[in-house]
Amino acid sequence: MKQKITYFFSIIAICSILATSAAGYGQGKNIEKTYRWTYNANQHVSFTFNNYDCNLTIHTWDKPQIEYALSVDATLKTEEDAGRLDQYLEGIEFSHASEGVRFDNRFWSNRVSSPLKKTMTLKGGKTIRFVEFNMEGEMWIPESCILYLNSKYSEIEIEDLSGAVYLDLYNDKIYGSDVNSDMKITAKYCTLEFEKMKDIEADLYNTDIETGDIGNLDIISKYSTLEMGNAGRLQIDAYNDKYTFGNTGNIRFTDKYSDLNVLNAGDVELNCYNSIVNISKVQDVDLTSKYGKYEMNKINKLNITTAYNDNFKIEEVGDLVINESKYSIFKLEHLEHSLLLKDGYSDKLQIEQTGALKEVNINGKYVDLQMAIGKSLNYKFNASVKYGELDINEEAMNVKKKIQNGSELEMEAIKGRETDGMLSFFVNGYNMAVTLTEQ
Amino acid sequence: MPTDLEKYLKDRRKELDIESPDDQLIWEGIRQGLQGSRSTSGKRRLWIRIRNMAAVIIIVVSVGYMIVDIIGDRKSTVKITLSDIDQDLGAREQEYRKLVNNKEQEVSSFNNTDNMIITELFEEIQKLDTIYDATLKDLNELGYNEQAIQTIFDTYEKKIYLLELIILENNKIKNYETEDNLFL
Repeated sequence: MKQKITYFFSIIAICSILATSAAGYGQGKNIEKTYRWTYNANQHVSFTFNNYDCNLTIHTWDKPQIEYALSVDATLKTEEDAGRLDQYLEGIEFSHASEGVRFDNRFWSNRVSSPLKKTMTLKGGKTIRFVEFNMEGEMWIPESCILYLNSKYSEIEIEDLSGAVYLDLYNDKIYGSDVNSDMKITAKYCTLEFEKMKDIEADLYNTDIETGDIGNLDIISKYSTLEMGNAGRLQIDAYNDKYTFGNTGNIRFTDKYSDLNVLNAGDVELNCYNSIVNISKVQDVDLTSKYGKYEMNKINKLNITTAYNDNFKIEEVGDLVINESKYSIFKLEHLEHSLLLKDGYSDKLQIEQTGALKEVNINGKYVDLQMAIGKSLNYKFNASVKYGELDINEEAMNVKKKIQNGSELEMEAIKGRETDGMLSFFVNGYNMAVTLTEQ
Repeated sequence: MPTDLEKYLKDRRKELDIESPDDQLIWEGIRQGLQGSRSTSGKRRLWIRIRNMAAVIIIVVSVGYMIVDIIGDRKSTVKITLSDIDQDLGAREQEYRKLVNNKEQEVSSFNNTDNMIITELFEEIQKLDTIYDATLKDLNELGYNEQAIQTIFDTYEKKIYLLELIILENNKIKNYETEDNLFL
């Protein structure tokens, strides 16, 4: 009996010890505290903030001060760890002067958060063990300060800023109001939303930006999506991006595998590969392209340096100049002044309507031109082709010269009375098919 | 000299051995005694076994905890993987790896080292490896982090996409080389 009682109490004792240890292991010691730093700074202070894994709200004010409140909600392994962390954070002093302030909330030299172990080695301090560790920041800075924000894995809200802004971001979400100064952005895997921005210089990778009107944009980007309002001059070096703008100034777009959508633009220079470009109204366009798709409503002049396997759908163009083209399709609803194809190869040109035409000059191999012209239109028609297929209203023409030598044809004809500066057609090449439909 | 006991026995010899012992009763007594002692020692042995097992469990748990604690401290430089965080994530990564390997095998047979577009696409794939390594390092620091995990999977998705582009570009070259030859 005595032995049984001994065993019973021994088991109770062992269970109590195990239960106490397990409870201790699971709970640890909590810290839920806000640490504050306030420094005097002038209105145009250069403020650098290195933020890591900490959601942040940046307020702006007119005080010559920078204030930072860091809320820590952490569960440490032991009372000793909690004490060490608390003491360390209380003792942090950031670099500050009235012209420059620098904060860094990555106050550990090494941090491990594996399921097996969670430790943090404090900079110049000891290693502490934690179960959970969360931070959140709130900050007040002068509106016109120069902000250098370097951040990772955080969600950041920013109020109106009027000083220059430099952002270096990785996996962040930024929600900003107006930025009334130039901005330089380097971002990877980020989302940025602003109401209004001024001039932007950006280097993006897999980043989405949504904003209202902006100033000029100079960007190098990959796998990104930009939706912006009206903009100034655009210089875009894109790779697999998607761009949408309202009205813009001149555009220089160098691209591979991207989409560009613009409402109205000034002069546009396109150097594209496998791109899709939609511009409603544009002044002059200079284009070098391969495997592209282009849809434009109104263009003053389209000058194509080279096109290779491209597809053009254009509502209205004044002058179309194609220096070199291969396997391309041009569908024009309206051609106003002129068409010049200097060297075509297996291209298809369909023109549904023409205006006050001055010149149509087609040179190449295997080119197929189908063009509708006004019934009353007078013109000169010259051709020098081998294996040509000319479907023209020869009956209405005064044929001055027509020499058919086997598959070769030389032809000069005039429809109507010859006048100075009258429309002239010239077809030259190999296996050329020309159909002129009078409407 | 005979002792008192010997004398006593000689004198009372006749009075002795007049009753024979009840052997059956004695043996029954012994049997019952033996049975009783057997059941007591069985219970006792059971208790000893339980005690020993409890002791072993406590020792194993304590030693295990200490080992985990020590290894954990030393493991601070070892990188964690997605499967360390979650088995499903690990399985998903394995699926992506298989897909990438299949596409890489397909692409490895191409011989377009002089094609600028394809060379650039291969360079893009290499850049993705850098992003993958950097993000995995961050994951080691952050623990479970949705964005970091998403970024890691994104590198696989982009890799697959770029490998498919390489296949597509290679087909373009093949097609148009043939078309050019047909025309010329």
